[in-house]
Amino acid sequence: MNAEQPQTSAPELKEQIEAERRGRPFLVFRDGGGGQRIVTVEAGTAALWVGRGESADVRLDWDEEVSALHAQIEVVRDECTLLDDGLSRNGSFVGEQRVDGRRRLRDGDTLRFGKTTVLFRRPGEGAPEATVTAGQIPAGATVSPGQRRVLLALCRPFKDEPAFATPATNQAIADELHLSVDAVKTHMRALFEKLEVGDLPQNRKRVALVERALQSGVVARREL
Amino acid sequence: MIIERTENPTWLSNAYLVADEEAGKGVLIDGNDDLGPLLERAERDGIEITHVLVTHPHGDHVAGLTEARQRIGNPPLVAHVETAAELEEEVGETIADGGVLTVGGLEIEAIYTPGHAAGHLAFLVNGSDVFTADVLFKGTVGGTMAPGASGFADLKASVMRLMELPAETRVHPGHREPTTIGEEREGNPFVRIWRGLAETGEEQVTVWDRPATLKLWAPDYDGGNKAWIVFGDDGTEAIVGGSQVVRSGTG
Repeated sequence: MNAEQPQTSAPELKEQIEAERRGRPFLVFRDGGGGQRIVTVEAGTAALWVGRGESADVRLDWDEEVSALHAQIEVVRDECTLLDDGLSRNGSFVGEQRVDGRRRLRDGDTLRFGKTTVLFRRPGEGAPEATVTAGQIPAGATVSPGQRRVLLALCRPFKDEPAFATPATNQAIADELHLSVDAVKTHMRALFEKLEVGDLPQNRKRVALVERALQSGVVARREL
Repeated sequence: MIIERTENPTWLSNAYLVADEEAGKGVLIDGNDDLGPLLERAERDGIEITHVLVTHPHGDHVAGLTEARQRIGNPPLVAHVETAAELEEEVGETIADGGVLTVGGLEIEAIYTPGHAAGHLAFLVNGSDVFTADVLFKGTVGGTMAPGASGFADLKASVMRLMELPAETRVHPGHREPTTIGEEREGNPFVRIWRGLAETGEEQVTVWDRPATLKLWAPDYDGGNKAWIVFGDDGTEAIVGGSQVVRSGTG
């Protein structure tokens, strides 16, 4: 969300979208090697332990600042609550606030244990994203040749599945296609609608568009 | 002069109301989806918001601007032309380096500060307060791999240009708490190296599966870390979030 936060690659975003579609709460974080990990809170789960030890459900064993059993996430009817009753040496944080006792988690909360940041997602909460991501790519969504050229240029940085990429800017697309920025914006607005990402927050729209374009086959990676 | 700030609890991004209370006029700087308290303050003090300034087009700095502007009669957006290109909404007035906007008794000067984003602007108000958005924070600087970033050399030049402002100039960053130019000149670990007061490191690390040298590992505004790296394969320099850096000592 934050432009300063770690960037997500296209395959990682795909994983996140798949997790969202399942509709269950989930945790997203990076392991010691920088790879994305997703832990889904399955139906019927009463609690998850977060810690460095072997018995932890969310095991952060690469992070020396995490205690063996650091904190617990209690689950009651998909409502998740972070509990840190002082078991951890270095504390647990939601946003900037240290959790002393219990803290109800909301979709989009950033949790921190030791040096590891964990994003909490609850797809059912905070409607606009959920309604969008619950839907599949609209069947038979057709894009005009002009829109497709814009989409190709938008996806260009994702050629070769790099470990890091961000979608092309409007200016870069305009430069590549010799179009005015206003023409690019018009195409982008149409694409947001057609691939149904228009309701996403502004900071997620472009990367979601890339993901849907590649996933749906509207754009094939070899074309980039 | 009134300067009021809100901080979004998730993104830690700031939005500001800057106003001349005597003239009853002011501006908003950036949107962080938490503009309600700023609009309420303006209303309470009888301040007309005449312009909405945008430092750069990233989501955590423009969220909620549409709704906020609708509430106050759609004052024009003011931004650099390269920011205007990336915003979904129409920018009423573009402003370039050195451009001055006068609002009541406020003289707002645009300082072109690319690096974190191509069209990034800082705004210097009445020579005493500078709004630095994502170029300069208390104790750290902006990343150079964000969407539309123009790179390390630009970021460094932008930060060092801001360092030429008088030491007492108050700095209002795009995330977290204020600081001053003097404080950052002496204490910001990036600035200290760029001023020749400190040495760079040599630790070998991996970033996005590429070998890199870690020139500086410093605290970031969010409680995490910020890293200045140089890639071993092509010599590109970058400033990235600490979570992107794999250090063998901790990995």
